[in-house]
Amino acid sequence: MSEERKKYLRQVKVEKFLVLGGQILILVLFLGIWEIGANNGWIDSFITSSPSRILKTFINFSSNNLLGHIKVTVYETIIGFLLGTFMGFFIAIILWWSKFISKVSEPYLVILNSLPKVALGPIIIIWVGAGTKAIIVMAIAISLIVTILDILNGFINTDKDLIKMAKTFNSSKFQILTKIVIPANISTFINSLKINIGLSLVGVISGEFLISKAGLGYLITYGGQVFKLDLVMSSVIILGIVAGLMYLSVILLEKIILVRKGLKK
Amino acid sequence: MDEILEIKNISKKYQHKNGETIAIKNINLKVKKGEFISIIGPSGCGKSTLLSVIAGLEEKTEGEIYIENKKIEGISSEIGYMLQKDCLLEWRTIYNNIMLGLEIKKIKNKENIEYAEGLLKKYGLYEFKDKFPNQLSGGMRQRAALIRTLAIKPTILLLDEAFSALDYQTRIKVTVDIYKILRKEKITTIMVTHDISEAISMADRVVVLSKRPGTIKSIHNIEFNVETRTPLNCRETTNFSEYFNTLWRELGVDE
Repeated sequence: MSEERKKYLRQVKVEKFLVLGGQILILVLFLGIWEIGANNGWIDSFITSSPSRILKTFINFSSNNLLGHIKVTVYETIIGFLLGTFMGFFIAIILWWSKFISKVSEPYLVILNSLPKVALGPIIIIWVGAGTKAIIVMAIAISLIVTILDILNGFINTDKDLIKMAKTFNSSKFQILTKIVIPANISTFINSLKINIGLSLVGVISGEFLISKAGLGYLITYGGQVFKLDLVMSSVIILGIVAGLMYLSVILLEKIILVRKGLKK
Repeated sequence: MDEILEIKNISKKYQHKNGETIAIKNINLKVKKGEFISIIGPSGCGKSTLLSVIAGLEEKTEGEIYIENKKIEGISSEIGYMLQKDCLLEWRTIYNNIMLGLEIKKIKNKENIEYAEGLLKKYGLYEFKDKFPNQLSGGMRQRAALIRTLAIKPTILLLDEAFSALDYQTRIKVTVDIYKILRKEKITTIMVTHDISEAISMADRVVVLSKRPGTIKSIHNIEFNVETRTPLNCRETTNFSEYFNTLWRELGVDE
């Protein structure tokens, strides 16, 4: 290895280290100032809580049944996410298949897309009951339309020449769908998974806010109402971790698919 | 030589909101077995439309097409078609790309698979069969696309500006390459191109189309006094530049 190469590699390493160090430093400083501020009465820990108290809440995991609430939220999110994604995928296929249906439904999709779905909350609760079902429906309501529009857009923008090529072999519409359009849109599909995991979580949390029976969303509202800021903060942090983990699992799935399909080494 | 393809009085009209456009009009052409025909014409003259109509990708407004005296409607399995881009599917290996036509036509039997594998071996792509298209050079990709088309055993091949997406050097190499393959497999070919030199270098006859609505303006026989003609060595002959000048004037690029 030449000196130059060594120098370059060292530089890359140092840069990586500095970035990571900076990231950790910000977190440590933030938590440190927060803790010291709360202990010395610079900030009102009744309103802001403090890292040590949040840690205590974590340690007393079972007393607040945190794990149970996490399970509820994760379960609802995953079910809502899967249903929303697959329903969106199939509806997108129908709309791609029939230009007529697609044209007819276009204005409705546009309106539904811009409507804040949280506004549907009370209606959903009345229709399906104030329970898990309503929360899952909420998650679907939030992710479904975006999924349909994203995937349909990808389908429509599939390279026309690839379709023409398949047509020269006298392919059926079904073959064009399965052999060209769907595989050509794997990255569209994965992107919509990434968006949906976030959206489903938004749907679940706002559902839990409204229904207030269980889950992290419930803990946050409950904690807020009784001014248990430790609980609110802990729940928010856990929520962040849960969201991060779910996103990471989609990234992992993406890697596996892309490698298998030869789209990435 | 026998005629394999007869195009009789083909016209194509497009309907749109502001009226109709006649893309091509009264095209008549007879093509002999194993012949290589180049079609040139000013841009927008309907060259590609003519090819799409022959391939059955677009419906014709008038006229008939016969292959070996049999009238054909729609997409015929006798015809292979290559586009400007190689259109290899990036998510399939070269092997699976080449099998695509057989898959779609549901004729992926032992005999046809062996035939396709044979083409891969014959034209030097067998060792790359498990690679993905993005691991191949532009020339090899084009060759793979040709093998995919030949795997369905067409008797007539249509090339729609099939080389124009390649850079100049690769393009010359690919035309030599593909010319050899087509002659060896005795495939009748109709190629549409905007490149006069390319048209002359490969063709037995060059068909010149007029401006829209495209009609046949003239047909030129191309012959060279070279042993084992290739698209490269014929370029050095004096005939070549004569043909070039004639066709250039015919196209009326200066007008």
